[in-house]
Amino acid sequence: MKKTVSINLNGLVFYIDEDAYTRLRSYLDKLEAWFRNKDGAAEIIIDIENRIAELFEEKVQPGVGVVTLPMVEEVIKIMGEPEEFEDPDSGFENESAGTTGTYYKAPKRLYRDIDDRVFGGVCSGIAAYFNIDVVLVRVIFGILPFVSVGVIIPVYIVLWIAVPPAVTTAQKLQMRGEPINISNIEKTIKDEYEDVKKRFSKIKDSDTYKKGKDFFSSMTKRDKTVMIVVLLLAGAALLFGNGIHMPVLNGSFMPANMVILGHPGFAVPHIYLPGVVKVVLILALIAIFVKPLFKVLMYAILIILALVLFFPLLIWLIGMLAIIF
Amino acid sequence: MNVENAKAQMRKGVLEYCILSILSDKDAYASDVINKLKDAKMIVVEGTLYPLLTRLKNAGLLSYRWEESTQGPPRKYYALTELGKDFLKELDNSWNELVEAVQTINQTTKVEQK
Repeated sequence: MKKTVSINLNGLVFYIDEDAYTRLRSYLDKLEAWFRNKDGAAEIIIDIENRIAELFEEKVQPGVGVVTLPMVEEVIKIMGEPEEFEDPDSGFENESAGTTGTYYKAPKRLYRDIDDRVFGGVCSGIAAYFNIDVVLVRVIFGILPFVSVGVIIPVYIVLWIAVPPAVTTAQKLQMRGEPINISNIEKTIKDEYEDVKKRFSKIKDSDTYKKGKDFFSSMTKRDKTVMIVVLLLAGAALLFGNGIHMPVLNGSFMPANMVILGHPGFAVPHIYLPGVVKVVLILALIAIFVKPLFKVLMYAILIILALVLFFPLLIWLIGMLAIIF
Repeated sequence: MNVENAKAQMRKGVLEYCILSILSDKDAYASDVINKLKDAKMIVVEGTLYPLLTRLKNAGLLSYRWEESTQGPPRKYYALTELGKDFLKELDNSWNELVEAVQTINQTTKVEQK
């Protein structure tokens, strides 16, 4: 059994097998990438799509028959891969390059790698930029807040906001400093299809409750390890230590539970957790690891938080009422 | 330098000339042009044609109109413009010159070899 997709080519509807669709899509993407910088690119693509529709029409009745993978392969063979197009413009200088296609080396740029991210993909982007292991960058980013360099947290957030994500294939290649040529683009696009396919099948199998877990299981093993270590260290510092160092501007936005230590000129407040927050965190931890207690503990946390938040308000209200009456 | 590459380069040079020549006879839609070129073994893959048609059109040598077809969606019919006709005349002349030149060279070389 195969799933079919319906596509509209030049006003004709075709049913097409999913695998055939994937192949056709990647072929058209490749063409688009190939003609990207040429005049009339959109027109050329439309003309080619129309011709593909015509070729399909010779084989199957639109809206009735199904286009299969062998048909798509045959049509692509007829149309040819972009490298095979004999374009007078690409000229004779291309001779020695053979069929490698146009070669365009773009300067490396810093992007956020949103395909490999824990939060915003900042660390993986930096790793790609300097061509180092992403784990190393994450460990550094994870440890810095504990050694009195909490400023890395706002830095991370600023990077998250300021650095553009690598969305297009060209950007992803640029992020890794790989040359933007057709074979690379094709390879990347293929990789992405596999990835998207995998994700789709995963989402299909999961309901809303499992989604968070799904994200977790989609991370690679070492990423998980890093995240767990970072979270455990942060948790330990909060629960048992003196809190987390985080320099912020003196007198600016600062929660009430931060205490400013007396460093002249530069305020280094510690985040201290009041006892009640620690209780809540410990309950939450138990809830995560002891499934049967999850619901009960969540209710307990809600009640505690409600009490903590509303108790002072209640007292205050009673006081106000007492004044009025 | 392989022979296939050299052949491809040769074909590339005259491909535009061939397209204009096919259209000088009568207006045609892309698939007609493709079939003629394929019959003559001028192109290997069809994709070659479309960038060329677009470029010739953008250069003002070709124009196109949409024409209803008996079956299927409307088709793009290409025709030579006045500019295209002049252009083709020029190319006709230079093609003849080229053929003559090559023949002359081949003949004289062969005579020398004897």
